Amino acid sequence: MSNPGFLVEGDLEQKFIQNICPKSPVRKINCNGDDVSIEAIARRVGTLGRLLQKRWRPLIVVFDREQRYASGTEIETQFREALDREDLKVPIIVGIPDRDTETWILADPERFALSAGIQISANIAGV
Amino acid sequence: MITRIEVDGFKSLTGFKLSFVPGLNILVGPNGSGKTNIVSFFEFLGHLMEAEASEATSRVGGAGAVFRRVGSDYEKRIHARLIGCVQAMEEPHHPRKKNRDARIFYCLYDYSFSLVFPDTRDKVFFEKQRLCLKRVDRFMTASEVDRETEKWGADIESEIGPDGSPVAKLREYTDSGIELPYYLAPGVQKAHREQAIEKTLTQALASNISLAHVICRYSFELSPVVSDLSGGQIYNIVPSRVKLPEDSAKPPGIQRDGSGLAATLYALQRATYPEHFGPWSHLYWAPREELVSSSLNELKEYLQLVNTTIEDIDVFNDPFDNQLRVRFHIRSGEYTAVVPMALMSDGTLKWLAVVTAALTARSVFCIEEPENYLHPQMQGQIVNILREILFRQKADRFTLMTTHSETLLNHCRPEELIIVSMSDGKTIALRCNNMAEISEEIQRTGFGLGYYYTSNALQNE
Repeated sequence: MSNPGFLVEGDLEQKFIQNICPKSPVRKINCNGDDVSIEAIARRVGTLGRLLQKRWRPLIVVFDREQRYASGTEIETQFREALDREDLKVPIIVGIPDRDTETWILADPERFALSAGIQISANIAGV
Repeated sequence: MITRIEVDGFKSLTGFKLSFVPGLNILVGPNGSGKTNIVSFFEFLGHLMEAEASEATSRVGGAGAVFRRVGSDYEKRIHARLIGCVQAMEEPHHPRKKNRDARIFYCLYDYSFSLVFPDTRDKVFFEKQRLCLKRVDRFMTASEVDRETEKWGADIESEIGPDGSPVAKLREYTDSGIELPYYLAPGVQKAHREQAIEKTLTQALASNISLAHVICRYSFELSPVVSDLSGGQIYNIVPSRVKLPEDSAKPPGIQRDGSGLAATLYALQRATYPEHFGPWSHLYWAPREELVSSSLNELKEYLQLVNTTIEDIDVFNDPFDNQLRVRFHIRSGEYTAVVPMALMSDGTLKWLAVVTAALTARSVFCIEEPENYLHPQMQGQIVNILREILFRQKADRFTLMTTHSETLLNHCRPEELIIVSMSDGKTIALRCNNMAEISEEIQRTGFGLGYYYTSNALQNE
């Protein structure tokens, strides 16, 4: 059974996802912006992920593309390469929305719940 | 030191339990979670040991600020239980041991009370109190104590009788366990002593006075217990208060807002009575050599950490204005100047007041948000210095600190952290339960504890 842990970028994402998945841990990466390297984000995801991986899987990582030149797919590839050095032993699902994360989740909460493999809570469905 | 508190009905502390460890205990949590209420409880407790219940309540803002609000009314009772263990010393004339070290022992105590704010709302009084005491040969933590199964040296209870006056009852008493003060049963033979103690206590007690105060206050051997319970001085330093002129006759001791610094520095400069700070200090026992080390020179060294231009500091008693003048001697290259305290920076004075308070405070030292006014580098230093002072003083003592500073937290250890949150109007305080993993990650990554706290990675489920 899926028992996901979340690593997200900011307060709003944290509150939103925590509301959808009240039993899952939602940690803030606390490191993003146009000029933050993907390796720096991976190091933070690495340390927070290692603290979660004993109990929670998969780990779902969500951070914004911001104004980076690379596409979301390129950033994900780069991020996964950097993450390989972080000794994480659980499946990682990476989400790098081009638009604001909250807009993305608001647009399709059912799809979000489906991709996370979780039950959507009754008070959120159809939001 | 107090090793555990259980509180029910004090502000947001309901069903509240928290254990303390010697050293730093750092409260973190969002605004409004009740960190200050935990600190305030110690302040209230301190007043309860020094004044009658209504006066103590009044000193912290009145019943409305103490008793838990429910709807538009108040809860009528505060229950509290305090477990602690404190170093004490037999009386110097004790026939058994002449050697000072041999006279030192530990006193384990468990004090509980129910404080009532009746419907008449005209007073606050103790409905029920219980004090258990036991002599032990080492410091004991709260987890090692079970009141119901523990074989106490003395177990004394008082409860309000039908006439509204408290009646004392000695549930247990053995000579070898603890020695109750002689004045409780002067000249009474052993066979009748228990009844005599109960009678004296019943006469001495009033419904608004703490049982711990009555039993321990005037006893050389037990005074550290009441000193321990009353040691909850809280500091929230306000530099503008520190700068105000102080009268020459002001007694030493840093006050809650930082005032009293000049008087304290003056006392330290004269190397007179560092052990005599505080209202009950004449009964507070502590090894003199440990307190003598709290010298002005040491403070100067700490001061130079925050401001390297300060070469010296002195205080003189100006007889014309009858005021204490603190002067800072500044040197920066060829430039020298003597600057009065009122002109020093807020950060420097806050630092000086905090460090002076740490060196001279009694058992519990509570400081709220020490990061205010301080340079980030010094926020880390304040943690290191407090830890160093606590370690060096050897006495079992803890410091309670609240903070919102990630920088300050980066200098803290996971085991020092207490995570405070609010649920259903109740404050909950828990230790982090993934300390070992967090410590391992800090070592591996170099990220500070503050990062893990702000990332919400400290588990306390």
